[in-house]
Amino acid sequence: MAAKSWKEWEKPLIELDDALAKLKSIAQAAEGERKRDLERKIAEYEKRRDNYISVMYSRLGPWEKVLVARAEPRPYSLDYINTICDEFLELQGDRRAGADNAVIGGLAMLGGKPVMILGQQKGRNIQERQFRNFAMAKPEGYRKAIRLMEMANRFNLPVISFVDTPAADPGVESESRGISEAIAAAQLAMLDLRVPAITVIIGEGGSGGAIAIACGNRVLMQEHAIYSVIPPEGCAAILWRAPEKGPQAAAALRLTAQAAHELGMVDEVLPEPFGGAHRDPVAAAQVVGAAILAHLEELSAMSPDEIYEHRIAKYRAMGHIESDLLGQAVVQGG
Amino acid sequence: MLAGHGQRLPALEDAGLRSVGADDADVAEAQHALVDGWTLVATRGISAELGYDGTPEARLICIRSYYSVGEFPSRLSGWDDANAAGILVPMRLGARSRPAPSDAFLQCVHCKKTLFRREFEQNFDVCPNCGHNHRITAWRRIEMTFDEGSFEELDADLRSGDPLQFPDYAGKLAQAVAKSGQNDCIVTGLAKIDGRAVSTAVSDFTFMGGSMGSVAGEKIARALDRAAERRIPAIIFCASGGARMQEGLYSLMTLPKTLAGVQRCRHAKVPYIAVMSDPTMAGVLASYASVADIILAEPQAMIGFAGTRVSKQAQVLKMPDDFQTSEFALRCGMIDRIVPRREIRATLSLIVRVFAQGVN
Repeated sequence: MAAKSWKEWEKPLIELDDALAKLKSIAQAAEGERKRDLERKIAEYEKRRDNYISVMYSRLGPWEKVLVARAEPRPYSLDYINTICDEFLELQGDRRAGADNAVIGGLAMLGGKPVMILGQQKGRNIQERQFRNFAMAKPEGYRKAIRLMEMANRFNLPVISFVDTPAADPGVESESRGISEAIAAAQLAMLDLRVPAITVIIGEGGSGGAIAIACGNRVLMQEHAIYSVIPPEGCAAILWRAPEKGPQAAAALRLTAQAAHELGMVDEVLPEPFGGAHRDPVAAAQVVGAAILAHLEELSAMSPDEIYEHRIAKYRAMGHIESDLLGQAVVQGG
Repeated sequence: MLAGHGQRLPALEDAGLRSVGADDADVAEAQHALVDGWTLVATRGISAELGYDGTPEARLICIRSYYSVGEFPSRLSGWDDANAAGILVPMRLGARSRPAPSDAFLQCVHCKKTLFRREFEQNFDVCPNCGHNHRITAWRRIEMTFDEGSFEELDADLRSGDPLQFPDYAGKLAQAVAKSGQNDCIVTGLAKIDGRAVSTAVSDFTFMGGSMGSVAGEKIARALDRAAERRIPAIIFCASGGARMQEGLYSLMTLPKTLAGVQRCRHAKVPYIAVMSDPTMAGVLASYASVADIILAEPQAMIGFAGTRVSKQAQVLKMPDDFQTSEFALRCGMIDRIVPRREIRATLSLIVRVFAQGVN
């Protein structure tokens, strides 16, 4: 039986980590021979844990990737922004209906360059999760993103978007305020940018909720993030009327970063630290930051029109199409 | 066949009929139909007086003031003796050679009433009894909407592969292709509406729920591109459950892909009109359908982002009665108009005519 959550899946590791933490605190207080004994034991446990990690993470299947992408301690958008940006000023409100804290955005300095940042933000505890609505954006969130993208366009600021959402908010209120229109309009706004846009998928790239702010000239994806047209449980519920068949659906959907890269949907897979981004968030952020800057540098050679045409052509070309006339597959990627 | 001259024609009143300002020729035709032994049938408004029993022997009367000849109203709720120059027009409902009984009738999927197929079809596949808009194929839609013989299909050669080797997909796809005789759920091409050229894409719900995979996305994008290049309006009929999950991310990428087409239309300043029919959901609603210059919807179509099963999982409670319908979308300001199926052609024609002033 497949694990249902990251906590369940990493349980042996978490237990080892807890034991290690205890040993370390005891070792700190101990002296002489006992201290040396404890330190030997700690080293042995650490080695065992690292072995365990390398075994577990070398065999990450699609479902395990889903669990890791959703892991509670995994760094979220603001963790990356605060680590890689020299400065960040959050801007709020869609100027129409309300504030949406599932979507964050604002002005930032990144590697000495001014940029506009967008992202979806999860929460770590119950209060935070409610405040962030589990990173499920409402129409207000996408309209805030549109407002900020249009502003970025006017002031020649490249747009960096961090994607981490299970899905857009499916509630009645969101429907009544036009969640679908907001998602479509956000994509239109992003496609229309005359400035470079870079998307980084850092956790869950959940369907329409994700693509709304994921239409960058370059799309980067962390190695344990997922990107899917539908959550695996939802896919299983619709296809097999069995939400518990999420693991099978995860495999069928090919939602891993490696698969997305093979299919041509993602330009670069960003490696994560040993044992996943949550084991070393700072190192993970450094990789992300460096990749963004490298891609920005490449894109900066293009004129505003070229940037626009590049993006339109990129998404216009995506698809896997066969033809009766050609009798063979015409596979197109990014 | 009309009765010969010289025969005494029955008074319409004797047959329980009423004419409102009808001209002599029309009255005479109705009288001849009675002589020929046809039951004269009209739709709501006067059908009650006729005791319409739905038999194949029936003939239909329609009132021409509101509808051009050849159109058969099922409902005349706006009928008003004072304002209407109503004319009774007998329409020959088929020759004496009747269709085979199995084809002559069908059952309304909504009210379950047995319907006379010919009347149902002449009513644009809308149930004359309950007004339910039955789902129709792309070809039926094309036939109803565009000038006769004007549709030229393009990109029919494009077909879906199975890029993910998704379980059961290849089989389902082959089945749908065999059943429909089409390669995928979207039929696209060039057509004319009252003589004006348009680029169109028509979704077919009967083909795998109209789900949007690579091919549907490509064909819609091409239809939009074609409109932009030729500087003619784009008209897209939506009928889809959303993205085709069996094609995974390829399907998700049809959202920005079709929107790239919309963007091209916007920059080329050609109008793009979407008509939402039952159902217009999820990935289709969250892409090209929602951002048309003008959005029309058929009555009582299901229009929404999250499927009910998804909503249930998200424990969305307290839904309004009309949640995720055309009426809800209209009330929330998401669409321009709800248009009965019979009026869609005329409405599109007007829109195209008005925009033509700006385009040319």
